[in-house]
Amino acid sequence: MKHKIIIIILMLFLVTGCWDYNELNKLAIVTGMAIDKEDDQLKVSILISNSKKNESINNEEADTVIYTGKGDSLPEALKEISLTSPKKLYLGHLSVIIVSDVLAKEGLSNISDYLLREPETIKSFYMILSKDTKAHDILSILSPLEDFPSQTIYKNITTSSDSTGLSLAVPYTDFIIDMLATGKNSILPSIVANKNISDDDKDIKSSSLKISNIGVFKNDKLVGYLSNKASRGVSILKKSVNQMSLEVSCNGGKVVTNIKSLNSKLKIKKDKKNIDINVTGTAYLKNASCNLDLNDTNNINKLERKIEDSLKMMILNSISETKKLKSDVLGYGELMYKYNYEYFNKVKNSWDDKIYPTINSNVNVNIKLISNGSIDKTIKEVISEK
Amino acid sequence: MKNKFELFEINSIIYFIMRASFIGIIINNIVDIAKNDSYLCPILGTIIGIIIVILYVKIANIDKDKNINENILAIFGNNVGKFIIILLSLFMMSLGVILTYNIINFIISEYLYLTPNYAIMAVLIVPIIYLLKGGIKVIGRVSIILFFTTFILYILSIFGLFGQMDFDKLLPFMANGINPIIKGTLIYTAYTVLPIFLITIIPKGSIKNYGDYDKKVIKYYLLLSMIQVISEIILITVLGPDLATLYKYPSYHMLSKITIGGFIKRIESLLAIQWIICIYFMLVFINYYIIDSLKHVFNVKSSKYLNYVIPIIMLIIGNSIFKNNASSLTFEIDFYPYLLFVFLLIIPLIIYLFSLKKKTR
Repeated sequence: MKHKIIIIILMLFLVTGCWDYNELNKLAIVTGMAIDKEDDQLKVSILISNSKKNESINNEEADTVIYTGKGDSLPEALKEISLTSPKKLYLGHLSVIIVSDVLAKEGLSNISDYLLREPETIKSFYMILSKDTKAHDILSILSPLEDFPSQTIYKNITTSSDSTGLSLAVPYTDFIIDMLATGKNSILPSIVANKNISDDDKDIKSSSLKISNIGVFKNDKLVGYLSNKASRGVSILKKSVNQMSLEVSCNGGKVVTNIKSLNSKLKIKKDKKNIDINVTGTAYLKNASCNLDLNDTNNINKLERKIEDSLKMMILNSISETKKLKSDVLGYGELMYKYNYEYFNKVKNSWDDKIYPTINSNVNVNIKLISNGSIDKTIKEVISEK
Repeated sequence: MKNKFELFEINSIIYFIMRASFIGIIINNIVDIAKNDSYLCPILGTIIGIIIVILYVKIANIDKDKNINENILAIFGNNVGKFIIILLSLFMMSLGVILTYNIINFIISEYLYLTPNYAIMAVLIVPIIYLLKGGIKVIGRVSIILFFTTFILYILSIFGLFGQMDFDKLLPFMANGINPIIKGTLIYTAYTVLPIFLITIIPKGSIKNYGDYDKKVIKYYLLLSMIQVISEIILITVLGPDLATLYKYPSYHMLSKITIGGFIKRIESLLAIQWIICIYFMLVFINYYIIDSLKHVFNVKSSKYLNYVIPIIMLIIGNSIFKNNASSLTFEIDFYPYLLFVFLLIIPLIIYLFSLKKKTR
């Protein structure tokens, strides 16, 4: 009995868990990070939720605070920030990292290593490029609907990816997987401020954020941006679009459709020079501002062909733009490696520059228009019948 | 010793033995070696392993009322027998040391970055001593409880990752040739199949309905091997061979991708407990094996002090044996598998052959 009591008392001192304990009010919870390049150094800004705000009676106090530090590497810059922050930086709730495109053009492998290696960082945050704007400024812009800028950006990316296809949400690990994959390059969405921001604080308050086109990488370096149309095409081929709005012309007017259940399949042909791309989906009519009998199956078929052509153009556009950038983000090389690795191993060094631009893409789109919404006729049709 | 053990308890112990090294040491190293073909290593390892498991079953059948140490003494006599027992128990100690190093390293690198190693050792050592003091009967019963606990966690992990599997990541098939697959298979066999030798410490005769022992051990071995194959396939199809190679503990990071029902997320720490439990139980069983061996070598009847001393020595050596991860990796992958084959295949084979020779006399 004595032994047991001694062991229990000893355990009380040994297994207190005091070494790794963290008091919530002693942590600076980082929800967003912005990384810029300045004077050959990394300028890192972190967004911290202000835990004092709830205790304070002063409503003017901000919900978030931004700390900035500089260093030759990401951990060094964070160390500098920790000298100014009275609380311990905690990266476990990081939801978004904004990287300036200037830095991205020089390569992201330096910052990627730390984010993957540090066990405290969550690996499922989104990474996004700040296009033509400093990443720090993007992190400073507040949305009237959200208290946290990082949450605004996070929701912007997911909403844009889900509903428009203009951009796609790329979790950090997916970005790394694509970067490391054989025969494939990675992409990242970008964000812009709708107003040029000067040092004046007023500019920041009156600015808002907008998700922009997709940035294309070659290895770890940003090589360019896709156009709007091409960005949507890439999103379709990456199967990251839940629904997207598409406008096609009809009898002098326009028809707006919502496309859902988009699925794409890439298949490499045996001749190693052609790739078959099959895209399927369903369309729902949203608005028809033309004189068209929607009860006529021929008209519906015609509309379906127009939607298919429009999507086909979008996809071909994205392929041609990535070919111009000489970066195989669609994974043609990966397909070739998987199904014909002997050939790929021979050409892998010149794949992006020489082989990928010569591959033909046979795009086949099959869309079914399955719903006209609550009305069967168009208003213009009824007016013309009078 | 009569009727102390259920057959299912033996099978639970096999589960822990096979899983302990696999989740933390083997799963990532065979990806590193065989890349996207690494799922072939557990498949081929299982086939090779059938012969090894049959050998262990045969050893258990030499004299069903004796455990491996008693059988060794009966076959080789006192001097040579004790020498072999010491050799095997020293080797088991080394296996325990490697597992201890890995589990402490996993805990400090993924969970408790600032906690000193001795505190983690203290947490591990108390339940190990507790089970050892309870004896084989308690070890058997706890094995069933822990088996169901870890198995439920395993099923949850598979359920949460199923939607994220991309079978295209398994391609291309054998792009790097057969050599990496063979190397991966041998390492898999060395770490997950050969330690099954530990079950010979329980005399077959002490197991209820031991008539089914031979068939059921092989049957459960095959079923449990399927779990290993599925785990490897999930790792490659979810993380991909490139990212899996990058992480030291890819299975832990794979668990962080789990979403159940779209709202249960970030449960990797909870699910990773299955590995800690497997290693904990394996350490208990290794300690039991060593203590039983020492009792036979020194003709001691009580294990009162050994129950404390052996686990403490194992954990202290395990904590300080390797300078860093790089040296542990080199030892575990390039050197130790050969020792495993020598001690857990060749020596048992010699034991079995000598037992046959003795029988024919």
